[in-house]
Amino acid sequence: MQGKDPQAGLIVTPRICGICGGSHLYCASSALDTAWKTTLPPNALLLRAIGQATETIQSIPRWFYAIFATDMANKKFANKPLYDEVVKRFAAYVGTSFQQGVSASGRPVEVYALFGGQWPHSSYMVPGGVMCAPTLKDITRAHAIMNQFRKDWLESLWLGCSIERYMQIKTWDDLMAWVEENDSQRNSDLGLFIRASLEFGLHKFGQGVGKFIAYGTYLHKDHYQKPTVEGRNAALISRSGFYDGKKYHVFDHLSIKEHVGHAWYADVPAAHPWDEPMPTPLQSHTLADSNFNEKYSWSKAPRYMDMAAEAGPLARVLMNANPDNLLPHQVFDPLFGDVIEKLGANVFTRTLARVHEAARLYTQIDEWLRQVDLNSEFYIKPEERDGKGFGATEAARGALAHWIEIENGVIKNYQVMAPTTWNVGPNDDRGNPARLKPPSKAPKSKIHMIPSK
Amino acid sequence: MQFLRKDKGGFLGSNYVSKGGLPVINIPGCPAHPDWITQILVAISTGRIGDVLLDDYHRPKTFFTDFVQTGCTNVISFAQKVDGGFGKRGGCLFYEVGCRGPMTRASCNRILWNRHSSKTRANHPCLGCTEPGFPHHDLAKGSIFKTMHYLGFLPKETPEGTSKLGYYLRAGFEKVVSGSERLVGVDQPQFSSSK
Repeated sequence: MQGKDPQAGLIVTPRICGICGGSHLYCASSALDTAWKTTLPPNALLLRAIGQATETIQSIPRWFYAIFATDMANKKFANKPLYDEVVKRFAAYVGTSFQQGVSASGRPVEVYALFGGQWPHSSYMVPGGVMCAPTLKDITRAHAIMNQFRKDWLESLWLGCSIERYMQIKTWDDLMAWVEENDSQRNSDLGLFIRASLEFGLHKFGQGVGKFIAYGTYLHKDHYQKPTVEGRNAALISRSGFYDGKKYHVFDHLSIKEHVGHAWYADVPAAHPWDEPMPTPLQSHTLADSNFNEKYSWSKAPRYMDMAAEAGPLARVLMNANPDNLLPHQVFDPLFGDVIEKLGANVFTRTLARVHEAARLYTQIDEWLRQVDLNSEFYIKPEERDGKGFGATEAARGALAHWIEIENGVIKNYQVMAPTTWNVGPNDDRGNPARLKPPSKAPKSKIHMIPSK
Repeated sequence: MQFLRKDKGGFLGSNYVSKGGLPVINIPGCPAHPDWITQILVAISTGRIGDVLLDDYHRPKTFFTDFVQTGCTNVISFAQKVDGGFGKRGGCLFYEVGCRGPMTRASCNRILWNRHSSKTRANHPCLGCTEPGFPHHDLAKGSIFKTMHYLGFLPKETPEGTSKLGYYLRAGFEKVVSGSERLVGVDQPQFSSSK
């Protein structure tokens, strides 16, 4: 995007990803807000948060049923007592919950479309606010759609109880007691997922690097009307942070550097995204022909204070379990502080973290819809200027950020860092791996290692 | 596959015809509406391929003859030259914030998105993503969410099916007449909007 209009990112970056375009838009608009020093009306912050939250809650049933749970119906688990029930519900296309869950996932993004026009690939979040000026019928319809989602899936099929009951869970023991509390909860899709995961041993693999990063999201309507990079942490509702396995650190985007030693770009020293030069792509190779001591990926390797870290829902819920640095408008949910202590990071806890967010997101969307003031403004026209900006969020899959530099009224530098590069990027310049390590020897397949979602 | 922007050619070549005797059917859009894709597949599977007429870019005419403006809820404001803008209710987005609805063939306002909405219904200018030039003007400075003008006020790009001069004359007439009506206090309920 070098040399393009400063707002090019609003059109281009949502199209980076078919499933998290709203998250890219949240970053792109925030990056411009900080660069242009805009003023944001509370309504705009609410409608952006609603867009981000509906996209994320959409992803929970869609990802769980269409991508994850179908693998639990794999024949490898056929010797387990719960296997037949898992197949009956979660088998791809034919499972009794598959179609219902995937269909329900379409509801929340209908709400996104009411305010953004369409999902995916709207550009409705713009520096200075949002394009839309919703009317009463948009808000009431949004409530009705979310209520349908709650009745069709969230409480009926997924939880087997009310959202309020589920949100009383504060510890791992509470969660286990919840599963066994009655047949409705025990036999809900979440109840089955928990019981089957423990029976199948999903808590025994997929450890990761043991360090976690979250940029946080949902900038509070009253705390980010003057958007600045420095003021961002305190304005977040879902919190940011870096957890090194023992203690929490305050998140500072200046502690991030990207390494290209093992990526197909000309070598440059590891640098913060604002300081990175335009990359010079090199010849790529198939996986079979790649030398893992040299370059083997199109992904760069991001590091925080020179450390690899896991991004994603588990990182997110861990930051929200931090008892310190807590502001009144921020989420505090101790459950995953306890879960990580008792079970550690693994396939089960990572997935549990993701689906755990559904109940809270529902209540947040409902609350934010109620707070939209139809008599107040949605957009304040900003003044364009040169400068540097930073915008970040939590995409469903984790920490996502954009960095922009504008010079002479056009883009000089635009950097996007996606959560997948944190999780499966290549080794850094000192040879340290990300959450997933490269294979010790090249497999025979002729595929490229490319970042994907 | 068979076009590079407006020019025929592409990966499969300009004369490509499949085993079934069909050229590439282009269903454009970023993204294409799922109904556009599935309904063409239904047409093929129910033996109606003969009814699928293609335009110059091989787009099915059933979806890509009308313009995005067809069915836009602000079309009266377009006709009578009432400006809209971000964060405002009512008004047309063509004049100030670069809406491409009058120049873009797609059925976004007839077959709604996510069953409820469309860009222009949510006060979002059409970006023209079903037309070969997308993203238009190569995202050059001043081209994004701004209508590009001649002489500071005449839209550089005018609606399909108008000559530039004809459009400027008609638009100027409409603007002067409806502006004068407002000035002398004629009630204009067609432009009222309410929360």
